[in-house]
Amino acid sequence: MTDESVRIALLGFPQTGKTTYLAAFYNALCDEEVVSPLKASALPAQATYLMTILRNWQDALPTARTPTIEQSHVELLLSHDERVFTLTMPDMSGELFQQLLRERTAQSPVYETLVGYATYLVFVHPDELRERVLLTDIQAAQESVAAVVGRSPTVDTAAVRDFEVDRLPLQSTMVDLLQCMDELRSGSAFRLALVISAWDRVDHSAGSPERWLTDRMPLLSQYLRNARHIRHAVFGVSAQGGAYDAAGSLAHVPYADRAYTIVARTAERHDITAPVLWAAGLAEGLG
Amino acid sequence: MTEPQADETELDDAHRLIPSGEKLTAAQAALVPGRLRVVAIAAPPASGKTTLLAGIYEQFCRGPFAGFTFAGSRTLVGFERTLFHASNASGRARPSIAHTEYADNVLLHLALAPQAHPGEVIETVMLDASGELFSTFVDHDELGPARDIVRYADKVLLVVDGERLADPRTRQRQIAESRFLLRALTERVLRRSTTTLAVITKWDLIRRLPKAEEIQTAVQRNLSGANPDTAVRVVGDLPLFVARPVAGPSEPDGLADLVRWMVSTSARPYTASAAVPVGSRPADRFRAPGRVRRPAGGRR
Repeated sequence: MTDESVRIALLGFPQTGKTTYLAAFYNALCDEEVVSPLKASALPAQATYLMTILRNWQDALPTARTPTIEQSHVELLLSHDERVFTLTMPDMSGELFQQLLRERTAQSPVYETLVGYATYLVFVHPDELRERVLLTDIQAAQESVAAVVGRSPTVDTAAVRDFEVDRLPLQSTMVDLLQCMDELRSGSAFRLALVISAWDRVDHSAGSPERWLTDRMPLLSQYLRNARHIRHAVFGVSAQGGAYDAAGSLAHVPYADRAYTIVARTAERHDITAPVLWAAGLAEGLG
Repeated sequence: MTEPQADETELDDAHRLIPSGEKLTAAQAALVPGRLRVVAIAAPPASGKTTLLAGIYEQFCRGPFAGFTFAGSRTLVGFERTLFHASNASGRARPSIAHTEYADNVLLHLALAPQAHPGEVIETVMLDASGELFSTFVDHDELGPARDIVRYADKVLLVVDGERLADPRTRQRQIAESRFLLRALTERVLRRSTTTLAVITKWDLIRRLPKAEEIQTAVQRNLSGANPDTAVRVVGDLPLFVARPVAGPSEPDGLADLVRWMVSTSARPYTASAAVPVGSRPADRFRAPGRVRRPAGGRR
């Protein structure tokens, strides 16, 4: 690192864990009990916003979502290996990206975010995959059931729906978004840390995050491997630590397990800052 | 298919348009850089051309296929729209593939990377024109703007509807329509160097018939009479319409071979040197002169 300013944009559709990650990330920077190679050197200018989401996170309350048509801009003065640098991270509302794909128009500040950065943290949530189920596969399964039980299962008929671009399978939506970025950026290269949120809820037989991506989002996985202009790494991140219980509490989750990262290929556990470290070029071995 | 919302990227201070992702125009196809394969899909109406192409895309949604991995698609939304109507998300009980409208020349795009040659990408542009257009072509020699695309395609794929072949009442009519279409293409449009392949879809409906081999032979004989160089292959168990056994093969029969044929170097190859003839690239062959603005930067 020779540049003393690092700019990383957070991208993701609604409810993919961007703001929760930011809260857990800020906690790791500020809490001396958290072993992390990154630490905050000074209070940020946006202390009000960061303290709000941090307090919610510490109290195990849901972090406030980034309001629609808004962008939270965070600038942090950080230290790493006795060096001090500024980390700038815009956190843009996920609805703006949905609007981009629906209307096929990039308005400011979406345009500035998609072309003005060389490094991105892109979030996907395993609960929002919207995997396609072909009707023929359903039919085949029903026939198999009928062969065993001797009668066809009852089929619920839903109202016929119209096609909507923002309801594609998530892997297709992500490829569409990355291709739109490529179009707007005229092919200029960038780094992409793909963050799989809620990793604590993922079936751990999936192995490493990269393996999970290959199995569960194969179209996106193939695209990223072939995209010459994208240098990418995959991270499994648990920024919340678990699901809220019936009382809306996370008290059952030990503090030490609230936030961690599983890195791309090795499936080793690191602190929550790992995706930022890799994206900023401070820890290439994590990718 | 529906109308595109924005045809090309334009820049101004207020907003930037992004391509619709539904389909390419010939001019947009001409801007696709790199190693290009142009494949024209020809068929009588309702033969399953769109289903065939969407079925290929769906295979890549499930993982690497036929020795290739997915490297991008400028018509991803178009593929997704087709597949939506064959999925449970549509709320339908039975698959319904949108009919390609008359005179609509849909150009679909898939960028594929051979697993055996990492780093290499083959750009494939496929013409999915309406079946009615090809019927009109047989009767009146009218093909409109699709004519140039078909003429300069590297390969032409003639789709023969296996469902109509399986039915004795429609079999002869289907064979005759396919023969007339191939003959019209061969005599009026295709270059001698164009590679043609006829593919019988929904083969799983035919192969269980006692006359399966006889039917395939009849198709081969009739099409060879129209164009001696035309091979006939079969594709069955397409995932969109024909339910596969749950424990059955993961790859639809013949579809992998078809993909390999589509992206392989043709008899008149477009190799790295031959693909960029002096003054033009393969797609420039059907580009209207002077209509294309080339952006400063390229993709990939």
